[in-house]
Amino acid sequence: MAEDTPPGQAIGEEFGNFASFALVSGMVSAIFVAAFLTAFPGRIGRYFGGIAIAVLLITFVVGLTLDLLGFFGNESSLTRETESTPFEETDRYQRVRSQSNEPLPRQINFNEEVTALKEYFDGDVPRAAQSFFIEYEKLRSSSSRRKTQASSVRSALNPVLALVDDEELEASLEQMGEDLFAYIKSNPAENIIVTEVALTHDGTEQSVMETQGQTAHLTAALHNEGEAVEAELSIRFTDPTGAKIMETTLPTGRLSTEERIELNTDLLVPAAATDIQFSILNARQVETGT
Amino acid sequence: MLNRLKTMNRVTKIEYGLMVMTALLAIGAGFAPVGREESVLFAAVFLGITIGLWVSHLLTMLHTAVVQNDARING
Repeated sequence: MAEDTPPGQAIGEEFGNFASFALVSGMVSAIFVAAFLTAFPGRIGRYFGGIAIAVLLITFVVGLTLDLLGFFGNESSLTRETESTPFEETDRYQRVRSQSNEPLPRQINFNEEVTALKEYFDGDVPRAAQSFFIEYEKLRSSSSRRKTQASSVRSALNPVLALVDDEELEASLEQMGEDLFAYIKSNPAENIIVTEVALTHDGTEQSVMETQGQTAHLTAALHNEGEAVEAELSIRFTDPTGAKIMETTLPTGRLSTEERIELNTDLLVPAAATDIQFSILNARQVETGT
Repeated sequence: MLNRLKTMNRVTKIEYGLMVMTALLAIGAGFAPVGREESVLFAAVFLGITIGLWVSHLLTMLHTAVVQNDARING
């Protein structure tokens, strides 16, 4: 008979849980006992009543077994309890996910790794690993206290490392931990990279030696790999011994995350200068408004 | 409970229908205007059929539960 049962429509689903099953069988037995005791006063009636109670006892025992097997379609049953909604569909995760995202610096942008990790767990994210995904989503949506949030992600990563049993993924997660740690320790000035510095005079690129004593046009490309900052670019001309001859600073203005800008200025190259050096000064993080 | 009756599968509906029918017959036999011996006889027969149907239904549920549980654990 069980073979005839259509899938998903088990026999016994008419009972919501063990309580309603017991209640219905108890009520039916009570009706039987009452009816028989009324119809057959005396010994016969008591026999019939006894039979009805015996069947009730059998029913209870079978009902308890069914409940232990998770047969009744209710959440209180032992085996059904593990079949909760997939983690990615839980309210807790959806809520942090739905918050607007601020661009993450590339150093701590682990979207690919997180996607790979989700695929690894295949929709069945263990409880110990869930906080990692939540903290990471929070990191994506926060910007004002990103370093604090990055440390939360870093600490939530540890239980995940213990759960992953795939060498490649484990290596990428360890790298993620190191990147996060480096990000937490870094100061804003270190995140601004000065690239492509060029001194031009009369439209052609020249060295410091060639432009000594002349006005030259300086271009420098800056790349902010960290959070939004405001800083100053310091340009120093030095002599062959490395001593500073002249220093000038240029404000960079507001540099957003992963923003690249080009600074242009005309300056007089000192006659004794042989080299030019750059550094970032007074870098301070600016709020992005969230 | 009533909406559950609607979604119940056909086999269960037939079983329950038979159980209700034989149970009513068993109780009815007790009050039937026949002799006491006949009354006890019919009540006992119909009660036996009702209990048979119910116990077989319980065992079927148990069997289905075990099969489902195995399927959940092994596959």
